[in-house]
Amino acid sequence: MSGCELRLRRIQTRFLLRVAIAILCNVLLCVALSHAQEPLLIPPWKRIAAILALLNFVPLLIVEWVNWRTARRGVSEMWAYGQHDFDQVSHMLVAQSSAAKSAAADMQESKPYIDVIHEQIGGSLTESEREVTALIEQLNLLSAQSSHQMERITQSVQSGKALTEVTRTRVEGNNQLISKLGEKLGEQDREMRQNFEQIRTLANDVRALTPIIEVITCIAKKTSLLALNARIEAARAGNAGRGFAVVANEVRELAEQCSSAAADIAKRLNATAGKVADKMKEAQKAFDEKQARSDLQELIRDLTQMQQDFSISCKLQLDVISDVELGHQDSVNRLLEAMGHIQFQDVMRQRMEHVQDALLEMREHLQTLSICLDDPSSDGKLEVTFKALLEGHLNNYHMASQTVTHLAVAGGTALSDHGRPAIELF
Amino acid sequence: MVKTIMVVDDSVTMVMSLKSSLSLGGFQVETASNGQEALDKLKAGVKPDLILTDINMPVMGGLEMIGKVRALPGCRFFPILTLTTESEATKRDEGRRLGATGWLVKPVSGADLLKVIKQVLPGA
Repeated sequence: MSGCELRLRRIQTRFLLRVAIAILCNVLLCVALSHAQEPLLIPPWKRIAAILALLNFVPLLIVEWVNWRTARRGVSEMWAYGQHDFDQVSHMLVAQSSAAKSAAADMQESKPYIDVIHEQIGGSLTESEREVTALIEQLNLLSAQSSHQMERITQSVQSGKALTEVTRTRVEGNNQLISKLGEKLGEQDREMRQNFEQIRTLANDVRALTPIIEVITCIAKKTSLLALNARIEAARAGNAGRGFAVVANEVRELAEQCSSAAADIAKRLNATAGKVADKMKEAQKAFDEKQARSDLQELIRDLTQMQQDFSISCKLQLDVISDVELGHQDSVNRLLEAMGHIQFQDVMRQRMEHVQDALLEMREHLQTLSICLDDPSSDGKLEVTFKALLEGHLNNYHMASQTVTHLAVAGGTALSDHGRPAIELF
Repeated sequence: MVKTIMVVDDSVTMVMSLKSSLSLGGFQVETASNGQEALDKLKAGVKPDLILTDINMPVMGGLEMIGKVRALPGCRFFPILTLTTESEATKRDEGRRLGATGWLVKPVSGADLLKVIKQVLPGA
């Protein structure tokens, strides 16, 4: 018997019961009244109660009958409505069951999907590792080349410094030498001037002697003539002139000697004059060479200037090399920074590996859900839920950035503490 | 005298970049890809002046390695720095308890790394 029919049966039973009670009451009342000896001796209140009871019986029957009809109709309508809802719910349940089956089947299909995504991420990691490795190798080559250049520059610096030092020492030595040479040249110049003047004076004196020699020669000639004349007169004087002839002879010899001496002196004077002239020439030449010495001094000055210019040039070169050295050091520092930034690849790798692990976890959980949906005896209770899995992730992150991302998306409270500094010495 | 640093990390790129950075800083570098390999090298006679290690590695992680290194004779006192993505406080405290000298969280710039190393390595 269906629930609805049962309900109707109950309503009907209650109606009949109430009717029976009402009839019984009225019968009892009538029996009580019929047992009275004298109807006129029945108290009025009993008579009124009896009348009211009789009058109430029919409407009571009618009301109960109407209630019963109404209740029956209500129940029938409820039954029809319930039947309709039940059909609808049945259809819905069937549809949901089909949908659940489809969802379960699709969840089974999630495995290859997740596997593909997992491998895509793995492929990306492999590619990034390969490229970063190549980048590091190129940076290492660059560093090696730079170091090699720096070694050469260092050698150049050392050579340059040594050359500069040697040049500086030589310049100092040369300057002293040049100074002394200059002093010496000055002294020589003075001496030369003195000698030249002396020689010039001597030459003038020699030249001044030449007319005197001529005078002496002339005197000797005249004396010789006079001696000749004296011999002639002595010969003319005969014996008395004999002594005079001797004197004349002696005078003639003396004149000849004077003439000879004069000639000799002239010859010597000429020779001396020649020598003096030569000396003059030499002195002149030496004096002219003094001009060459001035050129030499000028050359020395030019050389000194060149040395100074070379020193300045060396210093400039050293400054340039120092700048290059600083530039190299700057390159090394930048290279160090680049190597530090390359660590991002490892950080990214670990985050992506965590994502891969999470995908595998999701795959396993979907498989579990699929089995659960497929099992008609399942009560729907899950040992593990996505919510629990997510909360598990929150408490097991390695990096502060992972926790930040999680909280920004899913909210919650992290139990782990990532607030300590990035570099901490114990 | 040139100081030697042992770098322990399972990441190829990390090992390469650290080797380059430390070489630029004038250090000689030994490498290992996990804690077990590092231990084997130490037992074989390699004597680094400092160990720079990651924490999360296969075969043997950094924390376990630190504990075992400190138990080796002659290895109680040389500095061991961790260079890891792990920033959680309990792991740090555990590292400190096991004997780590310092905790560095990736990424660390080359200049900062060399500065810390020179701070903990006498004579560097």
